[in-house]
Amino acid sequence: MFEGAKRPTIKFSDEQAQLLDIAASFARDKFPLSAARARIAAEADLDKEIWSEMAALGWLGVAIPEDFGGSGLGLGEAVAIVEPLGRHVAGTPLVSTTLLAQALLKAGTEFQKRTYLPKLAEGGIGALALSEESGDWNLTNLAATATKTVDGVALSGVKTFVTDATSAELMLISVLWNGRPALAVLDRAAFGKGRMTRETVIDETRRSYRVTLDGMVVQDCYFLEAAQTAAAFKHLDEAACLLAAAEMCGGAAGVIATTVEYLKTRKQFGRLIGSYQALKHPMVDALMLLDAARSHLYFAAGVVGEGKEGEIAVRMAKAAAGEALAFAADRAIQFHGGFGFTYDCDAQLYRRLGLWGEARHGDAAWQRARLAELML
Amino acid sequence: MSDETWPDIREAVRKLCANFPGAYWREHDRARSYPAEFVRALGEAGYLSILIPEEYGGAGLPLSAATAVLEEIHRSGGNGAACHAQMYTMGTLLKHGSAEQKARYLPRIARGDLRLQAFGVTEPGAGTDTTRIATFARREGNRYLVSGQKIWISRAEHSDLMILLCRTTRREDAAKPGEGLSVLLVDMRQAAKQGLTIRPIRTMLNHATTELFFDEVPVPAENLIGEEGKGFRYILDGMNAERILIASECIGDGRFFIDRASAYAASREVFGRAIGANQGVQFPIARAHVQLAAAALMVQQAAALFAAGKPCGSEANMAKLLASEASWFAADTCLQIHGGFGFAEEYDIERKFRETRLYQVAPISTNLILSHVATHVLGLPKSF
Ligand SMILES: Cc1cc2nc3c(=O)[nH]c(=O)nc-3n(C[C@H](O)[C@H](O)[C@H](O)COP(=O)(O)OP(=O)(O)OC[C@H]3O[C@@H](n4cnc5c(N)ncnc54)[C@H](O)[C@@H]3O)c2cc1C
Repeated sequence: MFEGAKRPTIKFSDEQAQLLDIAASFARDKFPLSAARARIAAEADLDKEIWSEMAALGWLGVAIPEDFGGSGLGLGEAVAIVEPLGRHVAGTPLVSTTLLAQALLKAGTEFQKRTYLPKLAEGGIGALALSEESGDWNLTNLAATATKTVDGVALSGVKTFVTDATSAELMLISVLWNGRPALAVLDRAAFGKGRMTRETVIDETRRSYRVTLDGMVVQDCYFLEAAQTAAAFKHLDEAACLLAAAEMCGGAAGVIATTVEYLKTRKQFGRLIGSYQALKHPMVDALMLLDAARSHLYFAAGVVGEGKEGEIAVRMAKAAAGEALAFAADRAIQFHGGFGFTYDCDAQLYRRLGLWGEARHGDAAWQRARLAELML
Repeated sequence: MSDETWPDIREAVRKLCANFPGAYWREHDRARSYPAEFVRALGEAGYLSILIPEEYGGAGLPLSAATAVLEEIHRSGGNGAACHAQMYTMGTLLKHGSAEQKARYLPRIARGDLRLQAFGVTEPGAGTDTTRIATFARREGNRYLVSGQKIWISRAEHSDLMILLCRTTRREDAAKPGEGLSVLLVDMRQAAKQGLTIRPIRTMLNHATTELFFDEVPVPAENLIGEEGKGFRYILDGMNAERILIASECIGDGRFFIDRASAYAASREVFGRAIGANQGVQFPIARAHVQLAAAALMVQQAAALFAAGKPCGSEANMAKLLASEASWFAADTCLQIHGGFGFAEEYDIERKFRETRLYQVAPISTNLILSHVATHVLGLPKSF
């Protein structure tokens, strides 16, 4: 299936590995879990300074070509940045921003690409208004509509789980236009804050909003190329799954580290609880699930990074990552005993990250059902 | 003997089984031969007719007594599969046969003069999907002529009679798929002379299972059980007892594995201490015990419902599912804990491991039980 010299492997390339190192130490410094908790408590958006530093490092344009102001790397490299951010429950708009750029790259007009991509690379936050109340993971199963009128294009419908909507420069929306799924990128001027209602979601690090499109009228120049839209939806879904897998692998690594730390400090019956096989062996199981999930992830990153057909690899990676994190975070709660059931225990941050990650773009069972269709 | 756990029966069966140690079963396993001596001893002691009503010469005990017998056989390291069907196959005759058929056969079955322990349902093209069987019995005067093929028919070479499910109306001509099926009582010795070929199938366990080829085999019309065309229901009726008894064999297997695993874990020393001192070793055995105990309760409940004449299809199936999975987990744990020795024939573990695995597929596979529960207990749409 993969001929030639650059056969994707289950390891990162040197470039990706280097990036992973840098991103790991950045995330460790900038995103201690206490910061995540503080942000939750203050209902605050991401620290602007940190976001600017991320822009300066070139990460916001990591998968944007140099022609459009990006670093000219690819989605494979984005994985190396997202994974450590997941480990520290950073909850940044990096993923949505990267995905918006991907949609533009796939289906944007030349004008849209020239105008918006550099903005994103520089630090403009991108938000995705793709999900709807039906909760369907099929991105093209839509109820929101666009209708041509004398004033422009009238939108209707409600979008949910739009993270960082209020701080976004650009928003990607999906609607049915003449019965066909269409994508549009709206800039800040086009959507008022009045349309956004804060949603309480399981992962409290996310600033998630419900966005009402009803009554909005936009110009049709906001819409992406109709001919490329189907390809853009497919690509968005795959890229979203890939980055979610990266974030969840990071989460699994983080929660394993947190739990191992606890097993090495908490004593019962005069011994460290980590000395009990019934606790330490499952941590090894968790590590093995994580390792397997990472192999899937890095392979998928390689395939997608090279622009190859990656749906199978990506769906496997997302299923494996979701299950690895679910298992590790569940054991984390159990192994922290009564403390594990408290808000103060960090295990919950990871369990929530996992539930969020699974609920976005399809959980493991759904990915497997898609895989069965692709493979059987 | 009102105690539903049958301590006297259990004790007696244990004594009987002590005469048939592991070496006995290993010999037969190696040769894939029928444990005739064991079956004879069990029959002579009266255990195989335990469910036949006293009026026909049996002990007339409830199903729980038979579960006690089979559980003890399996716990001892033996295998009741060679003869368990002699206990319950007669149920179809007892429940749906005519007074004359019962008077004619049951007393001889109770005495052990006649073996009725073959049950012919499965076909190469119809396993789980029973109504698709194609073996056909054509009525001609006062007899049927049977043609077709059966597979996985156990003990066919060690049975004088067989309960055979066949079509008397083709599926496509029947009002419903479940109609047009009939049950015939086939005299195996006669049939073997008149067009029935029996071919043994070697399997990974010693199970005396065979393939049957019927070429215009005559069966007297008087051997029809119940009404023509209603046979599917009769067979379904009989399956509950079978499920519950096989579940009790799994419980016995599970206890065998747990007994062996505990004893070995307590005595085997590695790194200067008993391996059973490791949580990684003792917890799985404890878990196996917990799972088995739960499954055993389900088996008991199903047997009690059966004895009370109440509907027990779901409970019988759930008992079989739970018991077969619990015994399999116990088997896997026991094998693992024995290290290399688990693979040595003389420990009997690898043999029991192979034997207990069967019950997740036969007499009904786990998936089909889940499907039954989903549709009949939970009211979900049929999935196929
Ligand atoms: C040693 C042995 C002894 C046996 N003894 C007898 C006997 O004495 N008399 C007799 O009549 N039969 C006997 N059987 C047959 C046994 O009952 C069948 O093998 C069993 O019912 C499964 O049927 P099958 O082998 O045709 O599998 P299939 O029906 O082909 O099924 C194959 C697999 O697909 C799964 N499957 C099928 N349909 C579905 C579905 N709709 N949804 C989900 N999963 C599905 C099944 O669970 C199974 O795992 C014996 C079998 C063995 C191996």
